[in-house]
Amino acid sequence: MKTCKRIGKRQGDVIICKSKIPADAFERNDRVIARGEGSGHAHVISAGDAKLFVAPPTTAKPEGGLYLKVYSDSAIVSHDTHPDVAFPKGEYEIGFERELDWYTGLSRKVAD
Amino acid sequence: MIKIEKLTPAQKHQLAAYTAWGRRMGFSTITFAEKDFKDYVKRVYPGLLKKPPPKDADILLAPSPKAAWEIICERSGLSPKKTNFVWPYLAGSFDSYFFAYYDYFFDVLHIENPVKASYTLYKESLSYGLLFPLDDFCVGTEKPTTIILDNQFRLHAEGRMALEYSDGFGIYALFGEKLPNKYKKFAIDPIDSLDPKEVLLIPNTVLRLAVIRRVGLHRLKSALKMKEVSRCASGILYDIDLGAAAPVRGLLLTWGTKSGEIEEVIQGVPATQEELLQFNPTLKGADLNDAESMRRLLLGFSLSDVIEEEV
Repeated sequence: MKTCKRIGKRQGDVIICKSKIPADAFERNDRVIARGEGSGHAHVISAGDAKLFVAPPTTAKPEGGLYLKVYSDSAIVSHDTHPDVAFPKGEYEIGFERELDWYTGLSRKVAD
Repeated sequence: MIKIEKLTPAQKHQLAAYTAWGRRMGFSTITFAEKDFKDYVKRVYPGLLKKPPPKDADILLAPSPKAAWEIICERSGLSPKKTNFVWPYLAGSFDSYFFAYYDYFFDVLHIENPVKASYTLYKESLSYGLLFPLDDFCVGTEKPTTIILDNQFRLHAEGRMALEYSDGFGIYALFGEKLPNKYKKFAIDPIDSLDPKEVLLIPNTVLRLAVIRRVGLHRLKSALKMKEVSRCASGILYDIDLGAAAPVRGLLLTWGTKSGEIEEVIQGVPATQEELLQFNPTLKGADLNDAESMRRLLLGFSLSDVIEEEV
């Protein structure tokens, strides 16, 4: 089986890895990658020419996918409590940290 | 039009004064007279909304935002449970950050204010609480009677509400994180009476982090018989006794924030290969006893993947 090495950067509970954006992904017209439901802290594209894309759910990714495309030389992702992270021009997939729910034994997205 | 490329030392020096003013106004609990409030409302309608004000009897002052919300819903025939937004509104003293920001540009950098008259009228709202200038009536609120902050100006109070209004409505908060009512005991109860298992089982990670900080990690370690399995640069893997037949596995993660604080939280990780398969089948075979493998598991990474930067 062919395995691909993932290359990415992490800012808190957000993980951004190099990846091609699926052809059927559509553009989102905001720059907020994720916002904490309780804390309100957000990961946002704060500088650079970049856009977010959403891919529809698939069997492999039932929750769909969120992608970042950086058009300028680089773009900055900022957060209230974490330092800025820079991403060079390119395409990226955005993932979120998960943890095990001890009660159900299932994986759940880290919520903040 | 001028473009300012760099602040002078004097301009930089004044940033602190405007920040302090914004905080002082925003966290102020100084009361105001109802007559002044009504006079202000009568000028807000023609001045900002370009329409006549409601009758004096339809300008109401509520003790808190909750009470104001109930009045609005009752008068408008809306269900308080199904309504979550009303427009227009002015945030009153809570808008102080906005005025501190723009005042700096107008006063210090001498940027021309193109809407000076309405800006000045809007700025007067800082003396009051929230204000809902609706079509047929206007509801305002008193300011909070109590606002308690930590040394980083975040809402924080132990044993009581961090922000409270005269009718008892308010917010429980620890280190700037609002606690829903179902978790208020973690802010008000004495630390020794809190159940460490319940602390660890708070599903929201940021709230769990804030409560762990209040309770103290050392108390959790002792009460839950936490036994170290292995450690890596940013985490320690523990066996934790939650009272089940077998201990669960938790990863204590530690990191520094932008403001220099150290944050610590414990997150659940698989203890068995069965749990691992349910958690992330693509990482089958990961070493369950290795802290770095488990840390990467939470991120969806294997040991061979490359994490170029972590903050």
